[in-house]
Amino acid sequence: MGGQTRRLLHLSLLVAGGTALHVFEGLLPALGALPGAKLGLANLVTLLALALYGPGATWWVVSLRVLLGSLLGGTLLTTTFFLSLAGAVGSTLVMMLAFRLGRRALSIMGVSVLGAVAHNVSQLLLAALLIQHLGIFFYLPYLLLFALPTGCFIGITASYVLRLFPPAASGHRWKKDPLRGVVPKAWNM
Amino acid sequence: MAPVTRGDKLILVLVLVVALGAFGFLALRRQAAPSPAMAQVVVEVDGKEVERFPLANLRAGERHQVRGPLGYSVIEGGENKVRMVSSPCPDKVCVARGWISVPGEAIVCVPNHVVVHVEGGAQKQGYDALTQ
Repeated sequence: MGGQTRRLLHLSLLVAGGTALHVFEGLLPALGALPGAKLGLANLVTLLALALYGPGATWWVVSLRVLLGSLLGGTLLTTTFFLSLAGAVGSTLVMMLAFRLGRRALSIMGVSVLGAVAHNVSQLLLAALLIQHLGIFFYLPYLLLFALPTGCFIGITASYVLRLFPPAASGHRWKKDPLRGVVPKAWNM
Repeated sequence: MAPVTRGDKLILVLVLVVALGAFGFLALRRQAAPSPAMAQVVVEVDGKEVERFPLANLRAGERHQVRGPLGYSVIEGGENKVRMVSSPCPDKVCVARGWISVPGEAIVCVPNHVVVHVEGGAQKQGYDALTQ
């Protein structure tokens, strides 16, 4: 399989997987005590795209995922859609920077947690803008606490999935060590 | 070889500290809040005030309808407290918020653009205007 074909295939799979996760997450009932808290499943795909193909391709994967996911979930152009978009753009931006600047210091788990936090903050920013009221930031501490376990979970999951890709799968300059310091040796599959 | 780097731990601790600090700050504010006698309930739609009344005047079980872009949100009074009982929004975050009673607390419904918040009579100005 040629490099271009493989790249196209992988990115298409990431868009499809992200769309499925996006829709699935929308179907989950809201947690009673923690409304607005989400697992951030689709963030998994963003992380994979970043690790395998870098920022340029990731923006395509993320925007197509939000667009298709909202279309299938029936939320296109509603408030939910714009909140999704804000969260996706915010978290992608931060994770992109974390990948680039923090590569020596962070594992993919740290990047994932930063993404989860950025997701919540950018969603609340847009929400505060929409309703012209900062009271919504009351939720931030709850969301931050929730972002810790979910961010770790998604990051660890991403590290497992990345093991399935041969290093050559990525034509990107980060291909050298997309797995560096990601899972303990004991977890090797 | 640890999977979690020092940077990861730093991030985890930092987020935890910020979250717990915010909880502490909210709890302190709650304690420092003046008696509810002065508290006012303010209802806003799209950032514009549509209703304002003293919290103490709101009888338990009394309901008010607030019209937003999606339809009517309904607020209900309790013993010196107020909550959202029904809302046309899809996620019901506002309903799940429960009762609010202390100045500075707010119920926010993003889809229906409705904000209900409690204002302290005396301390309307200053930093409270920002943190509300």
